[in-house]
Amino acid sequence: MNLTTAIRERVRTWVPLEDLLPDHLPAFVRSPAYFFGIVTLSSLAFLILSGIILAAFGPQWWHTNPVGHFVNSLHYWSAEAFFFSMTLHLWTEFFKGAWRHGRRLTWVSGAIIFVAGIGTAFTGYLSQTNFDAQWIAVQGKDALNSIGIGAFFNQMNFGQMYGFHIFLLPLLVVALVGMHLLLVRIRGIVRPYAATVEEERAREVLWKGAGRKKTLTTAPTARPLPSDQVSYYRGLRMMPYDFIREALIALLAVFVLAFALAGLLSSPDVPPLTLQGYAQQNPVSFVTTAMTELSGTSVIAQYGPPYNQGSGSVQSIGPLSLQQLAGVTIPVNAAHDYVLDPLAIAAQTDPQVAAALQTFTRAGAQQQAAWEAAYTQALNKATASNGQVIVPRGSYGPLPIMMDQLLTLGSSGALDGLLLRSKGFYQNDFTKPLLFLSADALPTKAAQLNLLGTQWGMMNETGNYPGAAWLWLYTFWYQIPPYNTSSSADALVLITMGILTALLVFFPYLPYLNRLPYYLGVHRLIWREYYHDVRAEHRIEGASPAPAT
Amino acid sequence: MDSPAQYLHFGFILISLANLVVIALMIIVFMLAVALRRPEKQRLSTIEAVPKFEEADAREPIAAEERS
Repeated sequence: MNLTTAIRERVRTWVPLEDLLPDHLPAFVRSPAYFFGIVTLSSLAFLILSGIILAAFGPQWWHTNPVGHFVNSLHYWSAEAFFFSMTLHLWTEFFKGAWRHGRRLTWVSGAIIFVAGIGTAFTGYLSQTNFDAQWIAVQGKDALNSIGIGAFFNQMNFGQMYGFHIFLLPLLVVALVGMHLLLVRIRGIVRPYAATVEEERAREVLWKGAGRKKTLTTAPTARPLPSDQVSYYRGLRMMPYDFIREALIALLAVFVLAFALAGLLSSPDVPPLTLQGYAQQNPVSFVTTAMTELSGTSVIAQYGPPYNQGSGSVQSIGPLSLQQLAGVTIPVNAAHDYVLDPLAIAAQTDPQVAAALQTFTRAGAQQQAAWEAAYTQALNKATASNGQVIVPRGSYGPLPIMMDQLLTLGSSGALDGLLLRSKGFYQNDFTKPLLFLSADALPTKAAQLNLLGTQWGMMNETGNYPGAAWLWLYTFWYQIPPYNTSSSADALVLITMGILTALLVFFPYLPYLNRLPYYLGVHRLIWREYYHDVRAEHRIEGASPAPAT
Repeated sequence: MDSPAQYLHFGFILISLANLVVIALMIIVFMLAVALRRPEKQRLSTIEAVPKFEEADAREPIAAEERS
């Protein structure tokens, strides 16, 4: 047996060229509702092209170079066009019941592309290296942590997110798109619904294998293979169709649109917050946050997995906590990481800090807690003067010296570097500085930009730009009970969305429900000429019992 | 575009003007796509006009089920 011959003939049988690049299609495809798929594909092409250029010049290029910013704007508007057209494609295919007659896998692959596309966009937001990326990382971490995924998929690890965004997820999307296109071409375009449900059910049985190619024993090999679509389309009126021309028109349309929007409207880019800026602009808040980390009263200090053994932010679904199950994989010791370890480095060159640190660490836990409580209370009446925090007199032990030094480290920018310290030379994990900023600095700015979860922030963008409007349902749940009152809101929302997403993906397999598009009747508008022709033929045939549809 | 965004409140719903425009555009484009037709006049033919290479191609659609 010649494997090469066998594979070649199988490919020729399953995907003959006349199916792959058709020059005739049924006349019912005259509706522009058939155009959204190719527009989505064209948008994806521009997304990939602009993404390749952005990746080639590195993640910081577009912040500093006007050409880079323009390319980023192309990328941004291509992404908007991609989701815009993909959503419309999904709507139209739904109303056409496009999974009928052996095309369920085509729908499933398309729906998975939609989900994978959202994942790719999400990691894209995280890779922007600006304020938006910072906020989405700290805001989104709770959701993924709540179901244990955050233990392995760390949104605050820029290196990991960048890898996912520029390689792994695009590879998945492109592979799925390839599979989807192949299925569309192999199966052909679904015929319009029959006049009655009974007739449509009979067709489903008749054509459930439509598109499956002939076996090698019956397939001729000396000349082009006939397509099963010839059988499937028999009796339908056909029209000339130029697949390549249509693809070029769509590419040109998306090209013009993306260039115009990028040139006219640019793209959002709010600079990231830094610990240095935070310490300089709001020293009282900076020191207050540092004190909660030292005393173990901060959200992060009490968070739980994947950062520590706390329980303050542990979520569960009934008795099951996937967050606990995943365990501590990104250890964060708030007191040491944010206060004691940075001060230990400063103490190497500053005897006063060394003495203060020694006094604090040698004191008993009760004494430390008393100093911390007193100093934290004093911070409520603190004022800032010349970059220093002034508190009323009191018994705070060594804490004023320690906090003064930490503020100095913060204001100088040293803390930004110290919190990035890892064993390697290269640094790309921003978990610790982002968690520190998530206590007050990031949410304060996010609230000003309407990005909080309670503000439907998941679908919003900085500035006056459109955001991820397609996430409206995801962010909707956070606004209503029981989600907005539950301590496990993230886990509940994710489970809800997981179930709804599974329903979308496997909709063709849901008995009775998969006939919904027929009853909604939008297909009668999309295919109105077709039904008009059928009725006309029926009238001509007179007593003929059923039109040949 | 970098100026503070305009937001609209409808009860508990909060939506930016930009997102509302995008959603409205999607609905309008969808309605137009359903309502309109491509402008060019097509030369229509029936599938019987497509060349047949083999006798097997002339089989009725039921053959598809038999093969599956």
